[in-house]
Amino acid sequence: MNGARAGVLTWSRRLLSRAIAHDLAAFVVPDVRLVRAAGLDPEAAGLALATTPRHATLLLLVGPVPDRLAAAASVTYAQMPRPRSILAVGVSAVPGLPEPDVVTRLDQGALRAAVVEVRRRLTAGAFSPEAPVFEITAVETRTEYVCPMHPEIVRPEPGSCPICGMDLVPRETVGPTSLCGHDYPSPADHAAPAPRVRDSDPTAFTCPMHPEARAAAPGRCPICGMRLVPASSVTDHAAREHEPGSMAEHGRHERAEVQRGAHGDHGPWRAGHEAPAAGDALAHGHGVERGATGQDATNHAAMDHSEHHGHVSPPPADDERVAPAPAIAHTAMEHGDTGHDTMNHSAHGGGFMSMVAMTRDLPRSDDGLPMEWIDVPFGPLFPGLPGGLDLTFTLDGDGVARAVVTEATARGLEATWAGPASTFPGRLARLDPLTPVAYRLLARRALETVAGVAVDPAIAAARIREVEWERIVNHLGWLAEFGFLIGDQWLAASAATLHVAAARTGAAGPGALIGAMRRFVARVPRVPLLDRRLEGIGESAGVDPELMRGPVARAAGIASDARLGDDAYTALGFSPVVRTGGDALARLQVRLGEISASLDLVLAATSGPSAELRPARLPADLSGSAGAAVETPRGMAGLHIAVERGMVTMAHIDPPSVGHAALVPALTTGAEVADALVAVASLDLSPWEVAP
Amino acid sequence: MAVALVLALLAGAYAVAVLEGWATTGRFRPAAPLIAGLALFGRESLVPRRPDRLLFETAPVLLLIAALLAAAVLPLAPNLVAVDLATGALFVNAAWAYVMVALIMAGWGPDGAYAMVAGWRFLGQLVAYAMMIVMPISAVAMRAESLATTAIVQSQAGFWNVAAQPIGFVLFWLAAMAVAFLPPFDLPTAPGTLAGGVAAEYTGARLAIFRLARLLLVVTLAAAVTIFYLGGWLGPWFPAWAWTGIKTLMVAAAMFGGGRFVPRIRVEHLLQWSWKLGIPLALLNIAWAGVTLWWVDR
Repeated sequence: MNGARAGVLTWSRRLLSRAIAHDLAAFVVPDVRLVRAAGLDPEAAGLALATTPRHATLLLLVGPVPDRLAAAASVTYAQMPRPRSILAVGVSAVPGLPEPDVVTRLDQGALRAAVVEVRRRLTAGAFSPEAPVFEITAVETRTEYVCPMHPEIVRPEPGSCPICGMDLVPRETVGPTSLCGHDYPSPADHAAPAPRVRDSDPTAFTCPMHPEARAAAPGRCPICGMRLVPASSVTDHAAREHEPGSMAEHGRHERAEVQRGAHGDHGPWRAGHEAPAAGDALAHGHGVERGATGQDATNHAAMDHSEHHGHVSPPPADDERVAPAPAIAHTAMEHGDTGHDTMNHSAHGGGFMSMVAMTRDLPRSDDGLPMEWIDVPFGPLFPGLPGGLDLTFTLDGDGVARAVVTEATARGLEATWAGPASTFPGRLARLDPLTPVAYRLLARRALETVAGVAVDPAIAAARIREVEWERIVNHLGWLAEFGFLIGDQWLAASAATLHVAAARTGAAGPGALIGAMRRFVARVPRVPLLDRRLEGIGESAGVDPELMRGPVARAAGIASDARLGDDAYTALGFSPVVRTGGDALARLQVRLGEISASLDLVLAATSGPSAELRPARLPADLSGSAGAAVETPRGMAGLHIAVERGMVTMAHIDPPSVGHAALVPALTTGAEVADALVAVASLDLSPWEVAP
Repeated sequence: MAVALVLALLAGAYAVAVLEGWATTGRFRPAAPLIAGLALFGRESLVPRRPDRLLFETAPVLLLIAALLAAAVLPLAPNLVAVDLATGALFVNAAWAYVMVALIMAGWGPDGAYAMVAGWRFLGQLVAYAMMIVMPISAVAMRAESLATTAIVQSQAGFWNVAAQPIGFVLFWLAAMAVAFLPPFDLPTAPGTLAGGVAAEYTGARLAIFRLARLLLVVTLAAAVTIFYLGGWLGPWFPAWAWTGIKTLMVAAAMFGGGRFVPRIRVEHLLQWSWKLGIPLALLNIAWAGVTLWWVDR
C-alpha cells in the first residue's frame, strides 16, 4: 500500500489495522453530490463521510478530475494521516497522486466490492517497514529572509537590512523566487479574466498608496504594483493617513503590509494561494502535512520540535496576548520567526509598541474595528460547497471582506466543441456532470434549429420528462448539500436518500418515489427555525438582475424561464414557480416548489404517447448557424453554434453559473462567514459551468 | 469507590457514543465506538506546520480535565460521589468554564483559519449560554437551600424540579446542549461551514482524547440535568445508581435526537435569544421559585 504507516506489523498493530479498516471515513473528490448523482450511495457501501482530510482514511476520487483539482487532491491526500488509501471510481489515475489502491467503476455493487477490497488491503498493509514517501509536487515551499520593518527587503539568505541594519528574519513562502513579498500572483489575478467583473463598480478597488488608481476587480496597482483593496475600506483610512503625506506614512503603510504578509506567508492557507501554479491547490485551510516526508508520529513531533524549538514555549510578550484582533496576535505568536523578532527588535529600537500603533494601518471594515485580513480558501474541495468551486474569502475577523471565485475545474473543453455535428450533443453533455441531459438537449435544439427540423410532439414530451427529472435530481442533490452546510442532519440525510434513489430510477419509472418526494417537499418548510436561519441571507436586492437566471431570478420575483415560450410546456399547463424575497430562504422555496412542479410535468408528459429520446435525423452536410436555449436546473443556458458541412466550427455557450458567480462578492461582502457560505451555496453554482 | 465511579463514567461515555452514532447514522452499532477509538490510536497523530505547541497539545487534555472535574461533584447515588462538596453546584459551573478555555486553545493552537474562527465563535456562544447555566442552578439551589448536589437531589423527593421550575428546566437543557456544542449549537465544530472547526487539525491519539473528552462532557451535562431537574437517583424498584444512569442516558439520547431536526443556530440569533429572551425568563424562573417556596412555607 502506498499510504502505509511506517512500522513493523506486530500483533497489536494487527488489531489496530483491523479497526482502521473497519472504521473507514472517506474524503470525496470532487464532492459527494457527484457520487450520489451517479446513483452511488457511499454510506450504504460502508463509508462514513469525513468533513476534513485530517479525519479521513480514504480518498475517494470520482471522475472527472481536472488537473487543477488533481493538484488540490494531492494536497488533501498529504493532509490525511497515515495509514491512508485511495479508491478511484470511474477514473483510473490522477496526476500528482500515487496510484490508487483500488480502481472501480461507477456502480453501487462495484463500489461495495471495492470498499471490501480497500478494507482487506488496509488490514494487511496498514503498517509497513518501508512505507513509501509521498512528495507533493503541487506545492513547494522555501525559506526567504525578510526585514521585519521593511517588507520590500527580501533576500534568499540571512543577513542584515541595508536600510535599518536589522537582522533579517526567515519566513516560509511558496512559489518562485521574487524580490518582493507581494509579487506572487494573487487569486484575484487568476480570476481577472473571469466574468465576475461584469456588474462591478469600476471604482470598487483602489490602491492603498495611489487613490487615483481604481479598478472594478481586485488586482495590482498599475503604478506601484501593490495589491488593490476594496475602496470602501480605504476611504476614511486613506484620508486620515495621507494628509501629512510624509515618508513616515509610507513606512506605516508598508508595515501594515508586512503584518498581513507575515500571516499570509506563514499561514499555510495564504501560502497556498500565493503560489502561481498551485494557487488553488490547498483544498483547505490546513497546512500541508509535514509528515509527507516524516515517517511516524514520533518523527513528526521530533521534527516539529526541533524546527520550532525557538517558539514552542508560550510567547513571552503580554502585549501580544491582549491583541483585540485574533489574527494579528495569531501572527505574532504563531509565526514566531517574524512576530517575536519584530517585537524584540522594536523593543530595542523604539520601546513598547502599542496596539493602536499595531492596528493603525490595517484595513477597516464597516464596523470600524481594525483586524488583520486573512485569505481563507473555501474550496475547491470544501464539503458543504460544490466540489471544484474555488472560493476564497478574505476574512476580517469572522466577517467576509472580499470574496473571489476562481476557475479550479477548467478542463479546456472549448477545444473539443469543434467536430462532427452528429456527436456534438454527446460532447456538450460533458460540460456539467450534474446536468448532462440539459446540455445534450441544448446541443440538439441548436442543431435542429440550424437544420430547420420540427420536433415530433412525442419526442418533445419525452424530452420534458428527462429534463424535468434531471431538475428534480439536481434540486434534491442541492438540498442534501445545503442541509449539510446549514447543519440540519435530517434535511441532509433525507435529501441524500431521495437524491440517490431518484438518480438511480431515472425518469422512466418514478412511481415508487412520488409519494416520498411529495412528503419530503411538504415537510421541509416545517423544519423548525429554518426560516429564521435563512431569512435575509444572500439578498439579491440591488444587484444587476441581468446576472440572475433560473431559481435565483425566480426567487427574486423575476419570472424568467426559458420554458415559458415553449409550446410543449404550455400544453402541459406549465407556469414557473416564483417567490419574492431574493434571499436564501426564497431560493430554497423556489427549488422545493420546482421539485413538485417538475414532478407534475413528468407525470403529465408520461401520460402522453411515449417515444425514444432520439434526435430528429439531421442532414449530413448541415450548414448554417443558430442559437438555442434550455432551462437547465440552474437557469437558462444559451448556445450559439455555427455548422459547416456537418462539422461544428464554432460554439458559444452561455451558462447560468457565470452570472451567478459574479453575484458572489455582492451577496457575501460584509456577512458573517457561515452566512456568506449559505449565500454562496444558495446560488447552486456549478464550478463546471464557471470554468468550461 | 473511586474505581467504581471511573468505570461508571467511562461506561457512560461509551453508551453516549453509541447513542450519538445511533442518532446521527440511524444505525445501532454497539461496537462502533470501540473500533473507532482503536482506529484513532492506529493512525498518525499529526502536528500542523506552525502550531502554538503548548496550546495545541494541552487543549484536548484541558477539555478532558474540565469534564472530569465536573463529574467529580455529580452524585450517582447518595453515597456514590467522588467529592460531596458543599458548593458542588457552583463548582460544576467553574469546571464547565474551562470548556471555553480549552476550545479557544484548540482553535488557536494549530494555526488554521477554520479552527481559529471556530474557537472564537465559541467565546460568543459562552456569552450566550453562561447565564442560562448559572441562573437556573440558582433557582434549584434556592429550593434545596443548599449548593451541595446531593442536597439538591434530596430536595426533589416530593416532586422533581422539572415540575417545580419548568422554565428553568428548558433553559438549562438548552444551555447544557450549548456547553457540549451539540447540534444545533455545534458552532465551534460546524461540519458544513468550518470543516470540523476546533477539531479539524487533530488526528490520531490527540483526536481520540478530544472525542473522549467531549463524550465525558456530554455525560456530565446530561447527569447535571438529571440531578438538578429529574430527581437524580430518586425512583422506585431499581437501585439508586441505576436510576441516575438511566435518566442520564435518556437525557443524552433526547439531546442527540432533538438536534437532528434543526439547522445550526446563527451566532447572532443565539446571543439575541439568550440575552433578550433567556435572561428575562431566567429571572422570572428565580422569582417563581421564590414565590412558590414562600407559598409552601406559609
